[in-house]
Amino acid sequence: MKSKQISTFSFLLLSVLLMIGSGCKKELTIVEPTPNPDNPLELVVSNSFDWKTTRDVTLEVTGIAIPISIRNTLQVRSTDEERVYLKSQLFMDQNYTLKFTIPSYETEVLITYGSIMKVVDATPEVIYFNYLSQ
Amino acid sequence: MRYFNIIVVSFILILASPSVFGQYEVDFDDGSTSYYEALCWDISDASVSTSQPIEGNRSIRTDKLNSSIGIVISPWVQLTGSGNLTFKHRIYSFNGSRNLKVYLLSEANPSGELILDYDYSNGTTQTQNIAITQSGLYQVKWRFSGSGGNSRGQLDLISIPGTYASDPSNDCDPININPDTDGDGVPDNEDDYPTDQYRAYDNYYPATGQATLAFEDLWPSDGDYDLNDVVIGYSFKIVTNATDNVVDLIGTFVLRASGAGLHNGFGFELPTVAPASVISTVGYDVLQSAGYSFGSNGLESGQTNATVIVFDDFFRITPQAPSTFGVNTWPTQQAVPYDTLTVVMVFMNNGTPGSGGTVSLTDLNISEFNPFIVAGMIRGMEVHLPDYVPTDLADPQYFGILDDDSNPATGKYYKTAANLPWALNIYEEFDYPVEQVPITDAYLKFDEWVQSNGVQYPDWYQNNVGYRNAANIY
Repeated sequence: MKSKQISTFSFLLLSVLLMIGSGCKKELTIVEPTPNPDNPLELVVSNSFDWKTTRDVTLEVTGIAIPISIRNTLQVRSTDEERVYLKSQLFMDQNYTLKFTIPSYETEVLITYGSIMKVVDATPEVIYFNYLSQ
Repeated sequence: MRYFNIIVVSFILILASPSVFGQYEVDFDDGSTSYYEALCWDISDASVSTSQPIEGNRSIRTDKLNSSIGIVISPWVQLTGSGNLTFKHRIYSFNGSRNLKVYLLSEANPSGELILDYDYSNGTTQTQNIAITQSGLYQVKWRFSGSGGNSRGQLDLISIPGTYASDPSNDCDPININPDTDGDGVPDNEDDYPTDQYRAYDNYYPATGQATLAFEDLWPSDGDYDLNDVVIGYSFKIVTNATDNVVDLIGTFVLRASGAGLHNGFGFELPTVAPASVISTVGYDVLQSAGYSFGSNGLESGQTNATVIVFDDFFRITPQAPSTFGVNTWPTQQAVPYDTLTVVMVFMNNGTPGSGGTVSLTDLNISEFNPFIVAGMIRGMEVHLPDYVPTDLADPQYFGILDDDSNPATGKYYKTAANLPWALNIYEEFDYPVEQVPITDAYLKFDEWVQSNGVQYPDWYQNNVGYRNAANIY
């Protein structure tokens, strides 16, 4: 009973708050969707659209058999080197699966491991890096 | 300094390497030319070839020795001062005059010391065995030469009396022992905390500057889509140790605007972090009277996942100017200076994690943090990004009423029946619309971004030519 009373109270409070806040709400006219609507409510939005301005990318790093143990810092950066998306210390002879996030508009990233540098297509969900020359 | 480093490396290798008296052996059977180049073999006018190898699957084979000179240079090797350099070599399709010279190269003598000068008289395989008395860092250079004809030099089964000492990740220079003051395994020149053994790297999200969270607060009813009811700039600094475990998470939250009639709070959940993995949380600003409950580690109580309430009331932190509506959404009203809250979460203390165990940088996955506003200071009325799951303390009675089309059974949350959201997370600093102007009237490519499923104009929020109606942006 108490729960129901709280629930009813919350709903009434919500109604009051919505009335108070209704100054923020525009009067809307429902029309058929148009290719370039001025009103967001007219947008035709796919169920699958995630509304994100970023993308997650998986980076598969393939190690290389090497006579000694080498570790260095792998960095994933924008090609203009303004933004560092990932920084991690890796052993050169081991495989790694790493993840990083980039703005959706980013199409390439610069991957460095010490002096080894490669520009990699960043449009797939999974990208690859190894230590061999390109 | 470079020679000093070489001396230091030599000394360390002599003292410490269990294989110091071993041989560095290569048969070229493990990969292609690019593989051996990655291991610091310098192979010029030659390649690792499967064509008629001397032994095994592959040998070094030069280009035709008519106009070119085939050169192979080994990685740096720490020679021991005794032992033999051995290798097999021959001229394939022998004719004419062919020669092989072998040198030992050092940093002091980069042109090399000649240790073999061999003129071929036929194409049979030769097994070479050269006593090496030098010690220190050297490379071995093989130089095949000749003129005319189609002959090629071949080289295989190399054994050098010493240990491999090149660094493939550093231009193949001799291994350099960079100082590591705190002994955490990360050299000082790469360590953001060179004197702190428990910290190594600063990682940032977003990678630079601040991202922006923009909310509508009338959920579950539609708003006016000016996306300025609560506008928060944010960034995270994630401090990790040498093994990529999170030590500290520092969130900076800038209260930029609130074009709202409601008093709204703000928090975030870390969906992959158990509360017990967080040792402490400080820096949030919540009055006791606001009704929240916190654990001893500063996280909100009653939550399955680590949840931080950053502030309880935007307008208490950043009050409206007298006789105005909201904060920083009407261009004609007095601008209010931003307030900033810095929340510091400690995951490891002097190398010891919280009782919930360590959290790796990958597991933290900070880009998937789950921010929300608490609309009207009603704790259960959380408003999240589209399809982000409410916390345990969200009140489910609001789902599916009015304009909300949330359906926990299908994982649809905080979207209308037309899939419109109540919040956006923008990777950069976002210049939000002025009061009561829908985002489509401020950002001219927004609709194309949405209706193309994000394919067109993924940079719609940037200040590019033709992207904005500046008059409609605060």
